Amino acid sequence: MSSKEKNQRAMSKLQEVSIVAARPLPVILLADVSGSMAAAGKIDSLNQAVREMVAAFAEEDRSRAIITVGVITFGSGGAKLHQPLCPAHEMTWQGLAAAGNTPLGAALNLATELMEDQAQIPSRAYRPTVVLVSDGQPNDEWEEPLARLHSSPRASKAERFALAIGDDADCEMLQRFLGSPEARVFRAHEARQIKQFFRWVTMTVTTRSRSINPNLLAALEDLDY
Amino acid sequence: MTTELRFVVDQQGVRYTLGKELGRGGQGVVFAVSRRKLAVKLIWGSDQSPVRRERLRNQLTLVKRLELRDLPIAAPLEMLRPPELGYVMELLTGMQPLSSLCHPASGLASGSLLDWYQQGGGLRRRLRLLGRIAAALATLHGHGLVYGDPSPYNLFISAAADAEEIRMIDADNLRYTSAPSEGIFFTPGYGAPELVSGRSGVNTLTDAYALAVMVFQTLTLVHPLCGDMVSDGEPELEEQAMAGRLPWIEHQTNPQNHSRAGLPREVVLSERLMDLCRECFEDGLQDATKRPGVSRWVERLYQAADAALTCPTCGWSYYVKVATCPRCEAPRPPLILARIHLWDPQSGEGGGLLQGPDGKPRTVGFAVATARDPLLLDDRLLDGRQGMQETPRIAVEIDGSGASLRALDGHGYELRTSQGGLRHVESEPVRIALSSAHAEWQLHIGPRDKQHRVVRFELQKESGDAR
Ligand SMILES: Nc1ncnc2c1ncn2[C@@H]1O[C@H](COP(=O)(O)OP(=O)(O)OP(=O)(O)O)[C@@H](O)[C@H]1O
Ligand SMILES: [Zn+2]
Repeated sequence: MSSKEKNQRAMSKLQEVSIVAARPLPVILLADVSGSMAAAGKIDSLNQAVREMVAAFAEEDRSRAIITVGVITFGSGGAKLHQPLCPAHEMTWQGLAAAGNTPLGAALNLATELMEDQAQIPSRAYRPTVVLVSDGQPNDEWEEPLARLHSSPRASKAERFALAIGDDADCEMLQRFLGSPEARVFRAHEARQIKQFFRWVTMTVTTRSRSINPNLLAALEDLDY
Repeated sequence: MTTELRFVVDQQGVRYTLGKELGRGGQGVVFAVSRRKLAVKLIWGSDQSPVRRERLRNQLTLVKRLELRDLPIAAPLEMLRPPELGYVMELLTGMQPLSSLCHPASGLASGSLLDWYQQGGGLRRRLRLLGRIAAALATLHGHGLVYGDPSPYNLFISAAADAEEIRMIDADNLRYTSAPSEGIFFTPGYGAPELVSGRSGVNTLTDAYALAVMVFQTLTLVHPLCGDMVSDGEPELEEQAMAGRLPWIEHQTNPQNHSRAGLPREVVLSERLMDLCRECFEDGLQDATKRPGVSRWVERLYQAADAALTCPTCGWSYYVKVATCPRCEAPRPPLILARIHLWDPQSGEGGGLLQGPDGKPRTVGFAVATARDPLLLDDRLLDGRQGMQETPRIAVEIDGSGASLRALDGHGYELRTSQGGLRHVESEPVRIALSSAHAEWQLHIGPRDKQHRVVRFELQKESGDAR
């Protein structure tokens, strides 16, 4: 091969250079937006805390993982995909409004569906983080949907967090959502604690996206909060 | 909550007010100190045991004892007083992690990707920065130390594209080669397979592995173990790859993990660099003893940088043996080739150039200069010294069909021809005419009765120009 031919080969290659994008690291929020959340500024605190979390994710170095955020709400009108999964740095957070009751089962089904859907979470993604926030008792059938979430191949691998807001929250249900007796339901009685919880989630997710191995779940003992 | 601490106190009782959080990692969180050129690292976690504290103290003492002039590391200054575990160090300013040269924003089209590569200084600056990083690691290894966690996030480079400083952070990772392997940290993607699998602790060859990954990735923009099957597959498959269970992406006989991504390897990796990559990622992947050590990288990275020039038409930088610019196909510009030889005072009458088996003067190195790439001859080229200091001694510029030479170090050097011509290179520029036929002028770096290096200059016309 003459050196001219060699060059032309290199030339054509320099015209179609591409790189591999970082893997997505999905974070899915299951938010109770039932009417009771409107009381005592709970929904406002939640909105603010989530906005801060999304902003923190958006600042993360995207060469290791691209943190994506999706939000499923449950309240009046049932469970809804309020925010389809979207990279945190491209997201504009739409605040949540509270009304209606607490159809948790429907929300769990939606979450399982989302996590099992390769079109929404490609198989190259890191395992998802699911955050459940509630201030009351579910008013639909939720045990079977929870069992499905716990047994479906990808949803079952998700890292789970649970926040109980106020005294009426169903802590036993939240504990069952977490699945493991060592995992802790975080209880919030004031706005400050809602923020604190989301900072903990933020720190866990961001640490996960850069420590030894982002696919290993971060050890809780190592986190100060 | 740690992040709400407002101040910390060091062992001398000095108080530091914490400012902005600069970053956090697997081991701790780093804050700028308000109104001072200092930073504080607080180490995470519950392990505040005397043993852990003692280990940190030893590591920092070790770093402090080194000749910091030789070692570009964000210098640790003081340990913090309990209950905090951590230390105060020098704050890096005007610098950014090497990762800024390995990871373009996602979704860039091919053309913008190449523009971005060029804005980071292109091939030539990447090679020089990597050469310096390798040299820093070699210096550490020379002191009997290992860095432990070299990664593009722990190695900082000048933010300005015309500067080439480097700094290491994470001084608390340094340890003696012989130290037991407790508290091992590495960055995913940069830990050698024996670290990933827990078979071994850190040592000079795990450092060398991380360096090889950084070199390959900074130059080609793709990880050497992340072929198409890995990057399209589940994260678990990537773990397998990182543990060295899959062939590397340029494996000579097994194309299983081939990659379509990144820059064409032959455009950015010199043949000698590619050879080192093969040694490291083929036989050296599982067998650390087959891996090239960091000093071999230092030499070859600098050699490759010396062989790179900048296209006057589009600004892309490429290797001198290629006749046209790989990006825009413009012919290679006129250049001066400076060949380095050895002077043998015993040869013939009054000394001569040391010859190779072929009867021609042996070339121990070379470097190129073009109108865009002035050449600075430094200790490395003129003495063969591989250190962190690269004091420039002589500047060479192309000047029409000749070269202009100037001493930068206050010394005088002799330029001679075999016909008895003699000129003196001092602080005022000296112009010499050059021809491509034979390299007449010889620049002597030492007196003729002693061994020293000699530089000969050749002019290469624009490629394709037959005049
Ligand atoms: N001296 C410094 N000046 C400026 N920024 C710094 C300095 N030291 C550290 N940083 C910033 O803080 C971040 C975390 O620091 P460092 O890497 O030391 O933490 P770590 O917990 O040891 O991380 P890892 O072990 O995961 O590499 C760095 O990525 C860098 O952005
Ligand atoms: Zn060009």
